[in-house]
Amino acid sequence: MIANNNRKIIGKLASRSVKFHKTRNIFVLITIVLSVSLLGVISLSQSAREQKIKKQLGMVQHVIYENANKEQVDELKAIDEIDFLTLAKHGSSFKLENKLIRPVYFEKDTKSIKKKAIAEGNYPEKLNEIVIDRPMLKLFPDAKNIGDSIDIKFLDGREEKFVISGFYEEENENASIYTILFSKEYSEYGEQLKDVPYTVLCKIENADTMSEEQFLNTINKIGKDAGIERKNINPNNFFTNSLSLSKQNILAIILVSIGILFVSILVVYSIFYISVLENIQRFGQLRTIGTSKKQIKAIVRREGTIMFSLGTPIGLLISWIIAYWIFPEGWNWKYTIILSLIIAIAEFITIIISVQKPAKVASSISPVEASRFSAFGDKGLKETKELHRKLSPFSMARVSIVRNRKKSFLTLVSLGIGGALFIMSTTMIVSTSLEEYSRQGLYRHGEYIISFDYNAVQTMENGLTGVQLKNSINEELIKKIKSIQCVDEIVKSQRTSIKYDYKDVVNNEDYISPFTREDIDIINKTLVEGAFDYDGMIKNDEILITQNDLAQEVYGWKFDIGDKVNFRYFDGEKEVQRSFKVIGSIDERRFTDNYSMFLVPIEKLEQLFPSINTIDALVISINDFEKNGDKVEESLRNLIYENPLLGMDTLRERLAEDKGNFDRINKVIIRLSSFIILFSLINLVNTIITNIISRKKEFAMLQSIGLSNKQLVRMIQFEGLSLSFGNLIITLIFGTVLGYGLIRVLQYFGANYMHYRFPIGYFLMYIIIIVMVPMLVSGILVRLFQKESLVSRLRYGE
Amino acid sequence: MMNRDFFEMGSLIIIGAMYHVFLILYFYNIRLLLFSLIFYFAIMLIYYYNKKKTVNKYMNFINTLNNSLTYLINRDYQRVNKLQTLDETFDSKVNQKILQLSEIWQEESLRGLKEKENLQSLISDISHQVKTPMTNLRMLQTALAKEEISKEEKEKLLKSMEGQLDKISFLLESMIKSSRLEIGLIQLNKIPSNLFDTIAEAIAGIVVKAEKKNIEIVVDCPESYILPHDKKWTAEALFNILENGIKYSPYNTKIEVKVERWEMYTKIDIIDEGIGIPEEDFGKIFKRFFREESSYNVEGVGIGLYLSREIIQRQEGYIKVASIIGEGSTFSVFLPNDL
Amino acid sequence: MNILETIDLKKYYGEKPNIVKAIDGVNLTVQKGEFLAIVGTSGSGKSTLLNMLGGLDNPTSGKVIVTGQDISQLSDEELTIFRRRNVGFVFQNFNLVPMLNLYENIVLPLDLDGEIIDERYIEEIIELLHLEDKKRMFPNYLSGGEQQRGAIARALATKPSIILADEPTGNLDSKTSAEVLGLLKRTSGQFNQTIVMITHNNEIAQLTDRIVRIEDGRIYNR
Repeated sequence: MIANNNRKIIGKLASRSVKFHKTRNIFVLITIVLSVSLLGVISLSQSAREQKIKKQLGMVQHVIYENANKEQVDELKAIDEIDFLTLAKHGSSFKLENKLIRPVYFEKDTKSIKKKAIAEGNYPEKLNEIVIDRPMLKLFPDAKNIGDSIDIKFLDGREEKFVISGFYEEENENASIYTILFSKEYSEYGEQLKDVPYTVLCKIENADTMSEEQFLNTINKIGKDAGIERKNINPNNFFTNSLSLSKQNILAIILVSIGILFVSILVVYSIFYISVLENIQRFGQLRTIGTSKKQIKAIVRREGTIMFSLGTPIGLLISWIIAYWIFPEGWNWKYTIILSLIIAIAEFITIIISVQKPAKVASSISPVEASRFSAFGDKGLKETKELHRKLSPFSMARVSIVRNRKKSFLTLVSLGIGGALFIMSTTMIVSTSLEEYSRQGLYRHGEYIISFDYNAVQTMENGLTGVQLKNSINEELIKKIKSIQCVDEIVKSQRTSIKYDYKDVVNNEDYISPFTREDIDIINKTLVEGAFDYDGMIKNDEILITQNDLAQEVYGWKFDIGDKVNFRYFDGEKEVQRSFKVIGSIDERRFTDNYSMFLVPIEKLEQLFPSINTIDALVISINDFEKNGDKVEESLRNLIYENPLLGMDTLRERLAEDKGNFDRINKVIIRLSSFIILFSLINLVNTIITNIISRKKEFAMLQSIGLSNKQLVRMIQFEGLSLSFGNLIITLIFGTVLGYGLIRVLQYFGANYMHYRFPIGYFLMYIIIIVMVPMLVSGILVRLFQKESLVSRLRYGE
Repeated sequence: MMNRDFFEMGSLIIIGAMYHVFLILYFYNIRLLLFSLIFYFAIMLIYYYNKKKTVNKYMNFINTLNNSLTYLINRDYQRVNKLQTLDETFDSKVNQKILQLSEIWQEESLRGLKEKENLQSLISDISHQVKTPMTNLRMLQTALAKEEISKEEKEKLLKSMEGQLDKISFLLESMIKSSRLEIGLIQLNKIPSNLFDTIAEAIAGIVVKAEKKNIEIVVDCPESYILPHDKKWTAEALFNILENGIKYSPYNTKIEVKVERWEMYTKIDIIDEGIGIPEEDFGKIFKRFFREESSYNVEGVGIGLYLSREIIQRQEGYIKVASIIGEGSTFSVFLPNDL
Repeated sequence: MNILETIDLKKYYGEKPNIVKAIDGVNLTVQKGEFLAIVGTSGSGKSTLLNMLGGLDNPTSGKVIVTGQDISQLSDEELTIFRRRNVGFVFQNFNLVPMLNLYENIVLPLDLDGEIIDERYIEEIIELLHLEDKKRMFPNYLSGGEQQRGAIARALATKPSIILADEPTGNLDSKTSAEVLGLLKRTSGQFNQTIVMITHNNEIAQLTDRIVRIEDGRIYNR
């Protein structure tokens, strides 16, 4: 059969209708533009960010093989999977007048692996040539320019003379770390670098197409082939993460997009549905004059596609502009066009789904029904129970809402979803206790941490134990600190360094910490495997492992229960070698806030290190941190400056850093949820406006029999307000439930710094918006009505 | 009134004093005390100011109400009409009521006047209508008084005298009926009775006239049709309409009487095949002494239809006419189905 | 007693050269209790006249005096209250509020003014208009005649000074028209209610006490 050639009229009717229903269209358009641009901005900016990261990743190594000797370097050079490698050396860092100096060497040409650039002068060629950061000259008042020479006193006490051959690219004026670049000759023969093993920076062939696992396997295999220990294989985390992260991000984006599309379906659906209800008579007329059901459906659908084809390009354009503005360096035409196409298709499907039901409703209108049907009467009540309900602007508004159950319900649902999501996400914001987040770890006990200076520990023989031999964190210091006003309590954190052999690692450096009898309960609770007995642990040489998962991550193996671990340490008098049995592992970092792999009872620790003060950090808590923080910090700093071996970290710095991070996340949350609210507001405004406009004549009639303007405005506002209040109740109930659930889930996943709190401030803001909008819209509309005379409004539609 | 105000004031002062004594005893602080005192007096002042304002507002309202009522009693309608009634206020609502009351009074006082007016117009109509036949009679009488008239002529004159006397007696009869109706001397008795009988009674009165012009009368009515109506007067009304129909119908035509029951009214159609009535006269033919210009050659004066309308209206019904010139007219009498 | 009076009432639309004189110097008086028909063809200005009589529209010049008050220069809000308290409207398309049941529609003007409802009087109207069984029903479920009877009841509810009916039977079939008009007439008699009705139909107009013709914005008393 050949289809009838009557399709043209559908387009004509649809476009007429589109021209006729201006307000509805504006709202549908805004919705489409919003959702398209939102999708666009999210996906395009993500793609741009990935492009940007890719560009950055192109300039860094994929993996570093550390501590490699000449032979191993040669082996590596022979391996095919390595696309390119470059050599570097890192000498021991040292302190010079409060600044950390890092002696390094890297090759002149590092190809695509980006290194610190030399801005002035030349790469050092001769043995005594160096390149330094210009701010470092402050430490050497005599030197001013290239060619000047400086004397540097190294960690080993040796003083050497160098000639400045160039300066690095200018960086932070107040940086606390300076880097000195030595020549190739010095790296081979110079006192400071000749014994330092090589660091090999490699790029792996086809790495960016691998999955994270594949990549790790590849680099591990290369390391093994070249005889490099597992712990010396240092994959670039930034790069590794990018391999899996991009997938996670894409998944997240898809989820968010589906959410946005779902909300837009709701909004477009309800707008179209309401519009169909309002135009029942028109459809009935069309049916009367012989329009088939199919044609009616086609008309409504066509209206949808017209709106789509108007809104989508605008939305895409907006998203392009915004995406380009956010990451101009990540702009890529190919991806942009592909993504835009995907978005357009998704939006199209959304629109088609949205108008499906309204189209069906429109098509099911019978010609007879149309003459009687009004937006109110459908299956509505035939009569009331009470003869005379109390009539006031408020009750009339209520009656109208009830009579418009379907419309009101739709609006309420979409408003409610927006509101609930808003409350849920703001719950997350207010439930996050920033201070508790920052106070994770040692800050749990106080606001200041005094510990050993990194430099000091690095340079001391026997590492930490060496420093502790003549421990500066002693009773004298504690007494001094206690004498500072406002200091409340001082918590001592103990640990000391040991070396151990286990499986393929030999002489590996790590730490051992103590626990007390009071901790037995907590340890029992957090025991992952194995069992322990406090006194047995003192008697026998037994240890608990605290971070087995970390071992798995770093070395590729776990400590197994029952295995023996060979410990080597300096007990303060002599080197000791002793074997310990692993009896359990726990998942609780409380005892090792400062990080250590092994745990023994405190008595045992004292036995093992009889003449060593094993305190390695002090946590100082003070009264009224807010008020006295600055004062105490200054006193503590003065105390610390006296001793070059000590350093201090403060909660204040930590809070500022964490606050920055959270602010960023919160901004994103608020932005997303306000978009969702925007959607529901569009819907609310649309409902109010269509409601008012469709009842223009009814209102005129009420006014003709004496409804005053004030009463009219009040009635309309009450209608809008009852929607608002319904919405607020839904929002309150579902938002609270969702928010509470979310917090519980997050707590389950370890976010202990979260405590459920209702976002009162945000909710109040939401109330204001949700209440103000209907008031304003109805006020404005009624004012607009006034421009048209009562008489012509009475005649409206005749 | 005075006493209560005094008591209120006194108790407020005592409470304030007690409160401040308490303040002095337990929280002695001069600043707090001063602040509290100032605050206390401020509240007192605001309270009294507001109270006074409210009382004044109500007093004003009662005063105006009193004045308005005085105007009303004095029948000072000019002042009453000037009362403000178009505000969204209670005062304005009360004023509206007063205005309405004054209207009802005016209306009632005017009613007697109106009845008088009606009577006057009736009398003037009667005197006007009776004038012509009376003049005719006088002329005839003068003619008769002459001695030289022949017997035939005398008989002829006597006959026309008889005609004029008939006319006068018909006029007077109609006048009396209508005036009685209008003044309310006649009470219509609406009781459920058979409409068929009533129609039959009406037709009986015009059968002779109809036969004279060979006009067929067809009745389409159930033989037992109970409707609340006044039998005698309704028959009179129908009779008048039928008579009018016959008057304006040519020879050898038909008049149909059709009864139809509607939702609220029973419709009695009287359909003739007469000369018809122009549309613009629809409203006028029921007026007292209206006669179509084209029908002056027919005897009778336009009081019958007027009477019919009065009778039907007194029974909460109404009459309307539809007509096509040259084809006939349809008079529809509507009588309510309920009491 | 004159319940309604217009003095040289004029309503012009448009600017000078293209001026449309919808109403051009109308002088009209209506007595208390009178049932007046204003007859005219469409475009004769009859609706404009009615709108001004009812305070729906302000005249260009001239006066409209209802129960002694000149309403021609009132503000919008004042006109609203004036209508509420003094005018009952019966429109061609009934104009009942769809979300209220019939009874509520009838007493709506009273509710709008916060008035107590004279139950006996309202019941009397409802009975007279044969609406006892329909009181609780919504307008959508009523026939046209029933809706219009409801509108008449609503117009009567406030005992207004005047009822204005704009082609009250325009949307009804002839039988229903006759019945509705009969009831309108009956109520006007029973409650001594002043009614001004506009129509283009002489057959309907003949039921009134007086007919006034309007043509090109001018009145012809014949």
